[in-house]
This record gives sequence, structure tokens and C-alpha cells, in this order.
Amino acid sequence: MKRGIMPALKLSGLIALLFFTQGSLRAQSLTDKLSEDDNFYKNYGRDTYSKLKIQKDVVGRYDFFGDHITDGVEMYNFYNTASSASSARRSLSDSMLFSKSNEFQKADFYNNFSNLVVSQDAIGGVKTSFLIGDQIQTKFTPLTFNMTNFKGIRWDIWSSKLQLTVMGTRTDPGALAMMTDGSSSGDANSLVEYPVTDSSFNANYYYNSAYTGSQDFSGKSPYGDYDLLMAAHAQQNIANKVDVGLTYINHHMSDIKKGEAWFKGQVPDGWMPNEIHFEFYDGTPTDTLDAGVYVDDIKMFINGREVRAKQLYQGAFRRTFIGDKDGLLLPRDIPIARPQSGVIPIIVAFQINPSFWEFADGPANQRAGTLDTISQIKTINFTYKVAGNYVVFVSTDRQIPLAIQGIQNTQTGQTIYSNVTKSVGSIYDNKKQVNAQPGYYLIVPGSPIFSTATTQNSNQFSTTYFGDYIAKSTQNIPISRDEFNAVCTEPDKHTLYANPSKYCLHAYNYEYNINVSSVTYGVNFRGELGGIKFSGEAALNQHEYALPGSIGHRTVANAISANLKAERPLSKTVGLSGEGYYIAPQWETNLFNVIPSQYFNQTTYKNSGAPGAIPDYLAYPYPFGNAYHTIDNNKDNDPFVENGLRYYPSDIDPSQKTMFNNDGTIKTSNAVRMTLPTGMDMTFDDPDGVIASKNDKNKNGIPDYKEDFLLFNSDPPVFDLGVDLNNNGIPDYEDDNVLPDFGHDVGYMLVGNSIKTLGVQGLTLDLRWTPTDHTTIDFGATAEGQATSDLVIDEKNRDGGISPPGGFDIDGKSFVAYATAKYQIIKRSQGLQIDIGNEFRAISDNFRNDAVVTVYTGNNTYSYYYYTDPLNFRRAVVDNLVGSVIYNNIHNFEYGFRWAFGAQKNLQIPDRQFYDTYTIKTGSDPTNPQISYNSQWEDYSSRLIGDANFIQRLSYTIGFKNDFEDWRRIFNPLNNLQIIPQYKLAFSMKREISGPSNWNNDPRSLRQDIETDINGDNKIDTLDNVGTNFDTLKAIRIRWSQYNLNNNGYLLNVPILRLDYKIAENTKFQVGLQWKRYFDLLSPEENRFEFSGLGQIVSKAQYKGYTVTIFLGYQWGSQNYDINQYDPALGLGKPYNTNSYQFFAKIYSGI
Amino acid sequence: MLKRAARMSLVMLFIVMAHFVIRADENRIIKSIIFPGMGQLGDDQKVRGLGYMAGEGLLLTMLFTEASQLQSHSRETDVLTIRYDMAVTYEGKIKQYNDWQDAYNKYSTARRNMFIYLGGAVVFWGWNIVDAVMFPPSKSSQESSVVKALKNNLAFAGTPDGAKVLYTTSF
Repeated sequence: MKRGIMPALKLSGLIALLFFTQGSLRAQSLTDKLSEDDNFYKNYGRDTYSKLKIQKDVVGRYDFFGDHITDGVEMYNFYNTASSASSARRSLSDSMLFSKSNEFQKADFYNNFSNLVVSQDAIGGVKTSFLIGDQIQTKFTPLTFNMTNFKGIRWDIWSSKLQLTVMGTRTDPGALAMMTDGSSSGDANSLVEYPVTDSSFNANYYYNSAYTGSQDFSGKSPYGDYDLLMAAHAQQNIANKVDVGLTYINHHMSDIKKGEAWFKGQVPDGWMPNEIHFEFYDGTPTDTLDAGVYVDDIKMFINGREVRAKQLYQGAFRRTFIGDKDGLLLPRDIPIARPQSGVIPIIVAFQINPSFWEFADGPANQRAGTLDTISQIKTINFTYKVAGNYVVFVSTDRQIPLAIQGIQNTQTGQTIYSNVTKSVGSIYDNKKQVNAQPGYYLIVPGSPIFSTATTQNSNQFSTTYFGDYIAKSTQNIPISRDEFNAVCTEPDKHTLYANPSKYCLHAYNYEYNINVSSVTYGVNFRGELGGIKFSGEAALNQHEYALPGSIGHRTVANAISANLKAERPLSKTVGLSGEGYYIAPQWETNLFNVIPSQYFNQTTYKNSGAPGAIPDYLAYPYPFGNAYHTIDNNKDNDPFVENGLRYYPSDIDPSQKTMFNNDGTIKTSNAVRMTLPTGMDMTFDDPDGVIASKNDKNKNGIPDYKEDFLLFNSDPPVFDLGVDLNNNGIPDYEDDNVLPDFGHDVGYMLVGNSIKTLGVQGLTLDLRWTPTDHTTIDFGATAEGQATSDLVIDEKNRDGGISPPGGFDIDGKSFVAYATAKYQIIKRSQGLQIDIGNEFRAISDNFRNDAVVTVYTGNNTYSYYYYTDPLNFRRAVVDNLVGSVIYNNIHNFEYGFRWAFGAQKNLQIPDRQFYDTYTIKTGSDPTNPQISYNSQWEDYSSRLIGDANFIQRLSYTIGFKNDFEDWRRIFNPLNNLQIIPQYKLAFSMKREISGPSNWNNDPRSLRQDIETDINGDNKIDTLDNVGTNFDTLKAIRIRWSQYNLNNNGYLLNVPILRLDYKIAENTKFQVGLQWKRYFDLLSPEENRFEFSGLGQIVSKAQYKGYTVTIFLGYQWGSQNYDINQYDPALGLGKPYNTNSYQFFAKIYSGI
Repeated sequence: MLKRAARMSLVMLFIVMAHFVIRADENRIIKSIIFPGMGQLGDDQKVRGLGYMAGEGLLLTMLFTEASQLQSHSRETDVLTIRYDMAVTYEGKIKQYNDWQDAYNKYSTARRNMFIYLGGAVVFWGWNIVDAVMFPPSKSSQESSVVKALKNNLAFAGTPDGAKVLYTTSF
């Protein structure tokens, strides 16, 4: 048994030994393994987590000298590369073998760096910073460069004396973003290349000979062109007295097939048009009875020599059309039989190909010679004679929505691609051919039909043309079309006017070419010399133009803009300040962008098929432009630039990435838009509202004085002096417009969905006297006017014509003289502050300052409407007396009282009529109020207008101080409670005491308004139902708009009860109840009672270095109209009452 | 006799009022004229002051509500008159007439109520002034109020009769 046991024990021991030996060996390797794993595995419970996918892709990186840079990945690369071939026998000009302009960006650039990499360094007193990314705020001077979201490469050097910035970027194709095809993974390329390969345009992107509208071209260039911008700004302090800065900006277009032409720029030959066409518009389109536009003659010159149609092409070389009401083009001849009045233009199209024309300087009916090919054309000029109220637009058959037309050889893979074309002549011809089959989109004449549409439009057989507006009449003529026709067609025989030829035939020159570069030189300064403080800048801009395919010939347009501010104390109590400024017409320090045609803009290839689809003119990008502006329109100075498409935010939610184009700009369908008086839409993409206002603290697009609870401490601007210096009826701090922020508003005209600026020149002077510490008296004057009254900048293109009638032309000019006094009494011991102010202004304002108004539409969305300046102060004197009393000497009690009285006297302007535009709330849909614009000729009459405004507000805070120790201690927590009753009473009344809109002369006709909605569905039945015995709906609205401008009033009675209960040190429970009675003194339909209730818990805390505030609450309210009497004709009242409820939980974090 | 008694009563009332007005703190009166309750609140009569404020606020709210209703229902009757004319069927006219009658009743009610609240608001405002004149806070509380004010605004004056503490304020 023992013998039996021992071996077993030995065996067990051996096994145990083996086991333990192995165990220790295994334990050793496991330790190593665990150690390795531990190195690999990171527990972010202990270590701070940082997202570094980059670690997985590291390889050694070396510079061109072979020096090791780092182990890592390539994040960003921007390069232009080209190689040209040459031989001894012949050079290969105008062709590179392989060219590429590429911008590459790894998705990590977005994920890890939010699209911005900054390297900073310093040595001695010099600091330097290197930035690559987008959304880099870059400001040189107001006239040269001012961008909130500059995307590109920027290098800054700073020392105490010298500051320098150098930067560059490719502005077209669009800048890269984090995504390709809507995804955040992978790399992104923005590519222009020649010859084209599948990497930039694969087989899905083009068709044998057709159009692909759905392709995103924002990161590609279908024509081989791209734009580069290079800029530098240096600033130096001189003798500790003056800061002087110098600016250089070069923005130019290049052609990948020709190679980069640094600084000069060039345009691809493929842009050479086959057809150039003119559109002559009536400048007063809503009045079809006035003069209209008349075209007398238009000629084309090739290489400086006039050309005429070859005998065979008499009806094809130059074709003239007028559209009819169904959108068909009707052939006409020049000179046209009678002026064209209304929205439809006269269209004149020229064929450029030499096969259509011959030089006209030979004998008639004999061959006078022509050119062999279109490439021999060096210059294309036109002369034209036009009269009446005219606006002239020019475009070509290539300036149409972006597309690529390519043919690929499937065996060799080689692709031959070209620009698609669409001529006016082909529109007319195709219309004739397929007019019986509407519903087809045609882009290339004779091509297979590519797509069908579900919606019909009169211009579907059209295309959208992009081009430029080149001239307008200096002043519109109010006479009738018949009178004008008689005067204009036979000026010598007509005796109605002293000098009838004044009305007629202004002659212009025009040279067709394309803007290839914009170069700007600027100097700015600031300092003090001889006791005078001054600052200013001056800049010279040169836009250079070239004809595609033409070598050598360039046309340069120079423009200068400048401003100078100075101030000097004359004594201890008197100071003088002034400013002079001049901003040239069409001042832009970037390449010009083309503008869509007013008439040919109805196509929707890009978004075909969908009802109400986005029109092509809003598609992005468009020919010759990515809407790149070096000077922002961003008055509220937030990250959202109004004249540029929004960039994706760095903290974008992944689900929202499809809202953006490949280059990071928001797709037009997701951008905020507004309709202009031209009838076309403009993107105006500031998603959080454009009110830069002190009256919109919570930035929700609603002025605080109209917002529940906030209205207690906020008042309308009528109680402030000097807040509407441009006299457009909107306080300047809420006065956003569609202009770049030059520092001064320039004159402009709306064209298509864009603007053409007319420049401005002005002078201001102000003498300030401060006789006491609390008294300020100002005397001053401002005179300014548009720099030009037509669109012609270069005098050589203005080839005749006489100034319009009427003597001194006041359109586009403004003069204001003012005297303002402010007095303040402060008695701190009595808790009393009294402010009194008065201003007197003599105004002659004929300078249009339209504004964009934000309308909050709920759920953090906004819409805008374009508010036209009513020009109510063309010749007027105004006096405003305002004052306020604030009393807070009673413990926990505040009292405020404000008043404002105003008087305005309009002085008649005899023998003049003005074409005024009104912004009118149409009210055709009570759930979605629409805005329309109506224009008409009218007098400027004598009026006397007065207004009175009062506000009284009281607030008391009730607190508790309980310190019970008996059973009443249950009331001790009341010490944390504050009860705040508030009461606000506001009254406002404005009346036209004498004048055509006298307050006793209310133009509304109740019966007439009711008859616009006989069936009572709160919508206008039809215009016919307005009745033949009444004015048209348009006239009703205009009359009411005029009346309502000078006659309005309301009473606001608002008790508020607020409760604040402190739950903990930084946590509060708050309740607010508001009862608002709105009593409209003019329109009883608007009378209503509104109740608002709000209960919320607010908690603040410090968390990871951030101040985090959490809101949790419930909001409810009701809006009850005294009567649900809706007036669809004028949009007054509401057909129903509303109740609303909202539960919310919000978190805000701050630093 | 009656006239004489009435005249005498008026004279007596005037004398009594004049007496109180002369004795009263003009600060308190001015504040009460500006808005009911302000004068009382300034003298630490918190409950009374807040009562006047709340009461006047309520009366004004009701007044403006009724004025608004009056104007609105006046417009409604005008609209319904036109709709009555436009109605082409008998039933239509009856409906418009009934609606008109309803609107007119509301109009009449609003007119009556508006005058009631207008009168109430004026009387209440006036009574608040009378209250400010005739029922100032008791001496002790007045003194304490003054002492409280003097903490922030001390002023001493010496006269041949001895030292005095003076407190003057103007509004």
C-alpha cells in the first residue's frame, strides 16, 4: 500500500513541480503580456481621453532636404503642379501636359483640430503665428479686407513696431471641408486637373452630350479655371505718433490648361462665347403705362471694326425678341416700333462666330472680309442707343448654370469635355419646335432630352443666364408711354417739352470680356499730429479684363476709395470733428461675381422635378464665382456672414452633415432666403437673426420690447435721440442691409437677386459743446450722395446723351443739418436721474437705405423680409423731445417714466414725381404672413405729422426676514422667496395732422375689404371679386401702407408677477406670469389679450472649468383676440385664438 | 338754509383739507399723484402702498380691457352690418342679425363697464392722494423712518436754541 502510495506521491509532486514551474513560467510571460496590454490599453477613467486616431497611421515624415520632421500623417496639402512639353521644332503653347491644382485635407483635420491648425513661436521681441484652416477672422481695413470666415493659409509676425500678415488661399473651387459625400471619414480633395481623369470627373458625372444638374461642383472645376487670392498687410508705428499700414490684395483667375499666371491671371479659352445677348429692361416695371424702355440701335465691333450680317445670315447674325405674357419669344426688329413697358425685356442676340458676319467697312452688298476662326477675335465691342427708363444686362450662351459636357472613349478612357451652351436663338427655335410638348428641360440644342419636369413654367424652354448689368437710366421718367413714344421717336417734331431730346437716346459703349484679376493697393493711418487726432485709409483697385482666347489684350478699370476722420478740441468745452469719404461705384477687392438675368432665371435643373424647387440662379457654385467677397456684410459681427453662404460649424451634429456641400458651405436648399422687390430670392444666411441690437439680448430675432417678460425693461427706439441717422424708419443699430460693411452705406440698385453698388461720397461735420458736465450740445451736418447715378464707371463707355430733365437731380443725394441738446440731472442721494434731450433736424433724404428685417418663425428658425426705405423725409424738418425719470430711492422699489414727443413737417417738392416702392404685408395667408412690394409714381406732398409716446413702469421686490423658533419656523424658508410684482403701461400715438394721409381720412373701406373674402375662408377670393367699382387690391394696400406709416397708435397694459425661490445657493425656482393687453388705436381687429406663464428651475455649477447652467421648465400662453375678424386684404387681425405649451430642458456652458 | 349748510360744509372741508395739506409731507403727496401707493410705500406703509398700487393696476387693466372690447365690438357690429346686407338668403340674414345682436350686447356691456372702471380708477387714485394727505404714518414710525433715512443722509444744525437735527428733502 505504501509502495503504492509513494510513486503516486512522487508523481503528484512531479506534476505539482511541473505545474508550478510552468505556472511560474506562464506567470512570467503573462506579466509581460499584461504589461504590453497595459501599454496598449488605456483606461480613460484615469487618463484624460483625447481622440487621436492619428496614432494608428504614423509613418516617418521628411522634408525635401531629407530631414526628419515627425512620425505622423499628412493632414493638409495644397499644391499646384504642371509640366509643359516643348521641342526644338515647335513649342506647345497654351497647353500643359499634366496640370493639377489640388487641395487635400484629411478628415482628422476636422475631427481633431476643428479645421484650424495654429503654430506659434517667439524669439526675442518677435512673435510669429502660422494658421491653416477656415473661419479665421481676418480684418485689414474696412475698405480692403474684412472677413469673418477666411479660409486658407495665414502667417502673422508681430513686434512692438511692425506687424505683418501674409496669406493665400484658393477661393474657387470652394475651400475644402471635413466631408466628402456627406461623410466625415476619409480624405477630401478639391481638384482641378488637365487632362481630366476619373478622379475628378468619373463616368457618373457627365453624359454624352447633356447636363447633370445634381452633381456637387463645389470642390471641382468643370472648365479648368480656378481662383487664387494672395494678400499681405503690414503696419508700422512711426515715431510713436502715427501708425501706418500697407495692404496688397491679389485675387485672380487661372487656367489649369495654360498653367498658373501669377498675379495677372487668365481665363480658359473654353469660355469664349458663341453668342452674346443683351436684355433691355424697363426700370419701372410695375408701371406699364409710363415711358418704358426704347432701343434705337445696337452694333457689334470685332477687333475694332464694325461688323454686319453676311448676306446668308441676315436673320441669324443679330436677332431681336420681345417676350409675351406666356413666356414665348416674339421676333422683332431694331429700332423697335414702340417702347417696351413692364417686366419683359427687349432681347438682342449677336452671333460671334465669323461665319455669321463680315466687316462693315466694305462696300454694301459686297464681301468685305471676315476672320477665319473665332480664335482670331481679339476684342468684341458694342455701341448701343437706348432711351427711357432702362436697365441693360448682358450675358452669353456659356454663362449658364454649371455643368460639364463630356464624351468618354470607353476603350481608351480618354474624355473630351467642354462647356455646355444655350443660346437665346436656340430657346426660340426649340420653343417653336416643341411648344406642344411642354415639360422638357433642354440645355443643348438638338440634344437628347435628359430630364422631365413635374412642374410647368413659362420659361422651361429657357435657361438661366448669368452676366452683368452694365447701364441704367440716371433718372426715371414719369411721363406716359404714348407721350414718351411720340417724343422719342420724333424728337424734332415734338413741341410738348422744351428740349425733348433730353428724354432720348443715350449712347453707350460696351466691351465684352471677363474679369481675370483684381489687384488692390491700400494705405491706412492713424495718429495725432498738431493736436489733431486722425485716422483714415485710401485704396486703389484695378480690375483687369480679358477675352477668352485672346492673348495680350487686356482692359483695366481703376477705382479709388478713401476716407479720413479727424477731430480737434477747440477749447476745454468745444470740440470739432469731421469725416470725408468716397467709395467708388462697384467697389470690390475681389473678382466680380456674375449676376443672374431678371427674365431668364426660371430654370430648376439643379433641383428638377420638385414643386417650388430652388431656382438655378441660387445653385452653388455658379459660373465665374463662388460668391467670394473679401468684405463681409456682417453687421451683427457674428460667425454668420449675410452675403456669404454659411460654413459648417465645427461642432456640427453628424446628422446635419448632408445639409452642406462638399466644400463646407450650406446647400442653398437649407440656407435662409428672402424675396427681393425684384421678385427673385437672395440667400441671406444668418440663422440666428441679423439684429445686432441692444434690444435683442437673447438674440432670438424678436426685439426685447415685444417679447414676454423682457418687455418690462426694454423700450422701443422712439425714446432715443439720433438713432436713425439714415432716416429709413429703422434704428441704425438694427439696420442691416444687403451691402458690404464698408463703414458707410453706399448707393445701390437691386438687380436680379443681387446688387450693383453706385458708390458714395460724403462729408460730415460736428461741433460739440459741453458747457457743463451733464450737458452736451451738438451742431452738425452731413451731406452725401451716390458716386454715380448710372452703372457706367468708365467715362469712355458713356458715349452721349444729356442729363435728365428736372434741373437739380436729387435722387441719390442726402443732406441733414442738426442741432441736438442733452441734459442730465443725477441726484444720487435722492435716487433720482432725469434725462432730457431735444433734437432738431432739417433733412433732405433721397438716398435709399433699404433694410433687412428679421422675423422669428419659431423653433429657432428665422425668416427675413426686405424692407424698402419709404423715403419719408425727402424734404422735411423734424423735432423730437425725449426725456426719462428714474427713481429708486424707496427700498426695493423702482419707478421709471419716459416720454417722447415728435413733430415732422414735410415740405412739398413741386413739379416732381417719384417712383416709390412700398413693403406691404399682404395677409393672404393668416398663418404665414407674406410680404409684397408695390411701386408707383407719386408726388411728395406737404404733411404735418406729430407723435406722442409715454411709458411708465413700476417694480417692487417683496422679501421676507423670518427668524422664528416656535411652530412658525415652518415659515422661515420664505426667506428664500422673492415676489416681484411689476407693472408697465405704454402709450404711443402718431398722427398725420394735415396732408394727403390725414388721420381723419382713413383709406380703408370695410365693405371693400370684406368683399375680397366673400366666402369667408380668410383668403382673398380673386382679384376679380374686389369689384369693378373699387380700386384694385394693389391700390388699397398702397393707400393703407401710406396711411399707416404716419398714423398708428397703441396702448399696452402689462402687469407681471414674478416669483424667485432659492432652492440652493446656485439653484432657483422661478415663476413668471404676464397679462398683456394690446389695444390698437387704429385697427380694432388687432386688439387682444395675451397671457404668458413660465415656470423654470435654473441651476448653475462649475464643471470641468466651464460654467454650466441647466434650465428645466414649462411655458404656456394664450393669445385671445377680442374679435376674430381677419382682414385678408390688409392682413389685419387673426381668424382664431391660439394657446401654446412648451416643455424645455436646456444646458448652456460658458467659460 | 340747506344751501348755506352745504356751503359751510364745503368751506369746512376745504379748511380741514388745507390744514392737512399744509401739514402733510409734499414728497408723499407728489409720489401719490405720480402713481397710487408710491407715497405710502416711501413712508414704509408697505401693505397700504402695495394695496393701492395693486388696486389701481387692476382698475386700469380692467378699464383698458373694456375700452379695447368696446372698440372691437363696435367694429364687429360694423362688419356684421355689411355682411347682413351682403347675405342673399333669409337664413343668412337671420344668422347675421343674431350675430349682430350678440356683438351689440357685448358692445353695450363693455361701454357700461368701461365707465364704471374709469370712475373707479379716478376715484381710487384720488382717494390715494387723500389718504396720503390725511393718513400719514404714525409719529413713531415717521420718526423711525426719518432716522432710517438719516443713516444715509445725516445733517446737523446749530442754533441759539440748541442743536437740531434737520432733515429736508425735495423731489
